[in-house]
Amino acid sequence: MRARDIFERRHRSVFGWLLRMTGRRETAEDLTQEVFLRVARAADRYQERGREAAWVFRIARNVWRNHLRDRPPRREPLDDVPSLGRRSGHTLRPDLEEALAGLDATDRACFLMRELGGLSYRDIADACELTMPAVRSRIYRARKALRQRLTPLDPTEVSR
Amino acid sequence: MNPTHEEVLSAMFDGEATDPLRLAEALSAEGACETLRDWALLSAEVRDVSAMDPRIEAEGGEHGSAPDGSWWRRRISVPWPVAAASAALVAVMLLWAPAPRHPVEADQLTPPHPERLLRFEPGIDWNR
Repeated sequence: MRARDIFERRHRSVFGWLLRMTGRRETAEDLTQEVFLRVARAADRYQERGREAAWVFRIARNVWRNHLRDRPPRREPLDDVPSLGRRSGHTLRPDLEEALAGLDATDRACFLMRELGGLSYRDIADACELTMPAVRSRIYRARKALRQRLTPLDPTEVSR
Repeated sequence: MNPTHEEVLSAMFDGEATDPLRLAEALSAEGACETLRDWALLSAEVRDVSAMDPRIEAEGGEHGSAPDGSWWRRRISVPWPVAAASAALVAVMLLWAPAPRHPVEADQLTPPHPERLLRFEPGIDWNR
């Protein structure tokens, strides 16, 4: 029951994080399944009250790192990923995916945990085994790099 | 705007505690507003995960599927009061249905005696 609640609360953010991290929808689905299998196995032993996001994302990061260790990273262009980035006829810019892929892996992980998981710097520090100042610097670095690599966004297009 | 200002703005953008004086200094720096605007737009685009959620996509696919044009395949929903009233009406009609005008006589239902059926010959009236 508890693992199910955690799944309901976190599966979207974990899947989104893994999708942005791997760039492959099928891989993200498989890894999301693996993450919540581990969550279900360990849910009874989980004691950290109020730190659920950090705990789940630490598992997600471990699963992602194991995936990288077992298989070399391979990213696909956005157009090859079915349904990725399409919403009401609006297509995300492929260069966003490329820019994300060009980031340092840990910077990307921290930045996406903040953006997709809504984790605090403290939770990200726990999940990524970093200090809070390091997290702050990495997220800033990711933002700066993305802003430099991407052409200015059109606010009307984003809000559509 | 120097990198320190940007880092302070980045922390503020994420809702993390920052030194108020440093924050005021960063916000006063030239280009702070444009930087925050670009980060906000970037955040909106990165967070657009609804299109990536497999369950949402599956639900949307079902609900969004185009009709095939066959009217006999379309489902209609009948409100339960209408359905209940229809069922009651059918039940009343069955109970109050009038009796047949020409009731079948009892002797007409009785089969002929077996002795008269020993041999069947086409064209012969066995009731005679």
